[in-house]
Amino acid sequence: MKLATEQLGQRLAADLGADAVSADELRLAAHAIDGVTPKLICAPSTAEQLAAAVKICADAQAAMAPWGGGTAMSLGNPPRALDVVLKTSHLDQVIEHDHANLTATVQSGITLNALQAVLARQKQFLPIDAPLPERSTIGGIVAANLNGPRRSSYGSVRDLVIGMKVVLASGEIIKAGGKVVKNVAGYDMCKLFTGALGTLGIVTEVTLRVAPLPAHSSTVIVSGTWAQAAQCANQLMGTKLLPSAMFLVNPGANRSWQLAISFDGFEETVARQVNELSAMAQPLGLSQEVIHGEKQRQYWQEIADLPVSQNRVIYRVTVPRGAVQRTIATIADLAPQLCADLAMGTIWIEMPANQTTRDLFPRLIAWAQQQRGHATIFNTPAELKRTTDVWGPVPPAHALMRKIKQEFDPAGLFNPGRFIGGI
Amino acid sequence: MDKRELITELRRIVGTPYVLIEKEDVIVYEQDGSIFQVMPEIVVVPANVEEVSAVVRAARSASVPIVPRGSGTGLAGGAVPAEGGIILSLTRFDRILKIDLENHLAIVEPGVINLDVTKAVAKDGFFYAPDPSSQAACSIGGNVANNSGGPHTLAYGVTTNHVLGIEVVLDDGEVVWLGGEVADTPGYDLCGVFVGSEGTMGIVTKIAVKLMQTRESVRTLLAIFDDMDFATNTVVEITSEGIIPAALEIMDHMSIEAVERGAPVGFPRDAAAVLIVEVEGLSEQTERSIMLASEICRRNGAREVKVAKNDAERQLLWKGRKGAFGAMGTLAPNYYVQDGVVPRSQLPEMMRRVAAISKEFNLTIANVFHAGDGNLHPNILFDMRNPGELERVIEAGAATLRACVELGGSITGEHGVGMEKKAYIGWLFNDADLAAMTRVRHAFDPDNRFNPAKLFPTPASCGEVRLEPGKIPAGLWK
Repeated sequence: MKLATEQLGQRLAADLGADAVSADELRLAAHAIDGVTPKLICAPSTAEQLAAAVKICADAQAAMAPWGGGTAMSLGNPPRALDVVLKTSHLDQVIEHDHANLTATVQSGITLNALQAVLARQKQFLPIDAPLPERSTIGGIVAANLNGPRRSSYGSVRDLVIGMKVVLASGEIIKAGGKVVKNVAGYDMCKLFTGALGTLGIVTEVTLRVAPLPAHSSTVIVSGTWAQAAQCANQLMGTKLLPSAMFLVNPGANRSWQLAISFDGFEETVARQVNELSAMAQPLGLSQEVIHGEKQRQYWQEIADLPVSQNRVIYRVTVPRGAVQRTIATIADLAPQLCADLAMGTIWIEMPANQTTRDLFPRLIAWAQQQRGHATIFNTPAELKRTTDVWGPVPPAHALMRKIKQEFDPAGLFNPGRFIGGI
Repeated sequence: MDKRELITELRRIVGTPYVLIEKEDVIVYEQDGSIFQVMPEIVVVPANVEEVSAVVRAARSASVPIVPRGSGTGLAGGAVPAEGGIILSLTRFDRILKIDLENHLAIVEPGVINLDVTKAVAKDGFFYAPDPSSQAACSIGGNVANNSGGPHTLAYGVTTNHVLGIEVVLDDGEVVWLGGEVADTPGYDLCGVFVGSEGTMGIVTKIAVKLMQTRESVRTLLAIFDDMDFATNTVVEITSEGIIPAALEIMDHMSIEAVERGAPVGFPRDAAAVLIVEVEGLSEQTERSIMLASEICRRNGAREVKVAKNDAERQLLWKGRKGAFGAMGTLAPNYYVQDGVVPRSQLPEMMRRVAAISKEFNLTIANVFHAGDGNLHPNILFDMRNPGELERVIEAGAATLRACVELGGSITGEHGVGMEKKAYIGWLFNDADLAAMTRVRHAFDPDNRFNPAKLFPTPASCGEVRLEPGKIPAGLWK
């Protein structure tokens, strides 16, 4: 940073107001990323203020980290530098819910739960079951590409985001996409910022496709041995049934395996699917439970929250869906807790935070690559990150990614070092 | 490298028969499905990725542009060589390389015809979801370039939602995969950015696409309306009531007339609009959805609602819908199809505006469109031989797009910007927005080698561009 912290703080306060800037030590400590403590926290009230703050920080060559709900801050590598945390917490408004268009435009700092409450008034919802919805913000969900258990049926974050406003390192606010569900005017810039972990710009506004709330929803949990659960899953996948989520869950050592299947839709559609699944599970000797309502919500939220569990090592291994079971079989003897999205091929592995666990990473990478997939460390205490890139080996397109970064943030001020291959 | 040396080099790379330079050979490449014509200088038809890479390097040494071309069905001039150089045709990349049903994916070459992917897996109960009306002719590579849609993208999404990864040749000839065969490839979503970039970032040589499982049940209804407003209001109500059909298509009076004159399917010729609603899923689900949709149609003033009783009846409805563009020739010697989008909630207002534009410009407009997505296709009917009429048609087309933008929509939902709409893109994006796109372009293609003078609002191209709607067979219109 070219300026002294105090001077930068004064400039920000002069432009945004004193309330928007803090150098309180406790607050700074609470906003450390992987043990790196920022020098200032800035919480703009408007998108324009956020843009002004970025410009001021960029002029001072201060390293910035955007911060939404702070639920996924352990995603990525430790920052190379961190001067200012820019909070989107005051950008918390729904700008428009066009229920007849099935879209909503929101400021990036709104929490997922707050948005769901607004959408529910029109019997709609955002079908992203992200972790910790009471704190997770839409901007954070988009930047970190946080998906949930029902993504295979409702779409991933990248499919549901149709428009954005983004503050670039120059302090300009740009618009990407729009509010129509089909749009090929110009490059699909929303894709660039989704999952970029704030390294190309700071998202201030997002337009999303929303969905009608299903009239009914039930989850069937069948439990038994690995072989029983796997066989039941295979039988289910051979049918025309349309689950909204399909997970294999191993709640930990010496406990039985669960196959958790949710169905959304009309009452009779859900009932039929529950019955057919039950009829499949019974001859296999699996025990069954059907859950609804709050119990169902809690069950899936626990699965959705797993990727951001603190003080654990969380691996994400993604393989083609047909390779999920053999992947689980190769790691099951390590007795981790895990859950696997059978439709997406995403396996979340939760293990104790120690070096032994951490040393598993190269093996997981090699295995995943063999299956034409990939493995990342999604979450781990900072001290276990020091010697590796949590994103795994650099992809073949890494040179191109660096060029993109260079075009958008030549001084490397947005979340430096946290993204893949040192970006 | 001068032009003669370039031709020699290209012949060395792909073989003499695959380098076309004579007028009688290259003339078929002067136009795509749009009204733009530019006579190509050189057309190269490589056989494999090594040859594509070598062609790209040769073009770089010679400092000439490269325009990738698939089936040439594009409607915005994307495959026309606006600044000359090399047309790189991908028609020899026509193999389905891998069908992997266990993993619900296929790897195809860019020249593979869209419908052939579905045909290859249909017997196993799978399909490839994006289904442009031109799906029997258009290529998957062209679909990737344009992020193509189709009637059934309402429920299933457009091309970008179905492409997992692509192998591309970059501006320096390097071959690299963007994305892969699974979701969430670490790093920036460059595959997502590339899809829809209209050939301006590189040449796609392999595509990993998702395959979907066919649904247990499909139900289709036809609702007949005496007023377009009734039909559009029905659409708004169906989506806002929580029914997400697989397709929701409207044809207006003129389109019905065209179909019934050309290849009749029994649409009522006195109707103001017909609405096709198709639902897919489990049988209980489609049963209930089609019942609810029927009710909504009637509540909104449908004169008649007919549910297709069997697959033959269903196919007939789709034959009418998919044949509508081709049938326009029965109404006028020429037609110009536009492609705008509005938020679904604005559909009734937008159709009123289209009617007003038709009146204002004194041009007949036939509408056949993806109502459920808010994606309009006004077909402006005209006769090229009337002096000044084409210019008026283009103005009327622009007026429909202007109206879309005013109502919060977009200037193109699935046809792309190409040459046709680059002058309009500034209605949606300001200089900073476009500069951000240019940054991406620059990272991929710093010399603007790939498909220059497209998509971005550049000044007029230096090549000679002529406007020429598709040729009319002699004697058809007198």
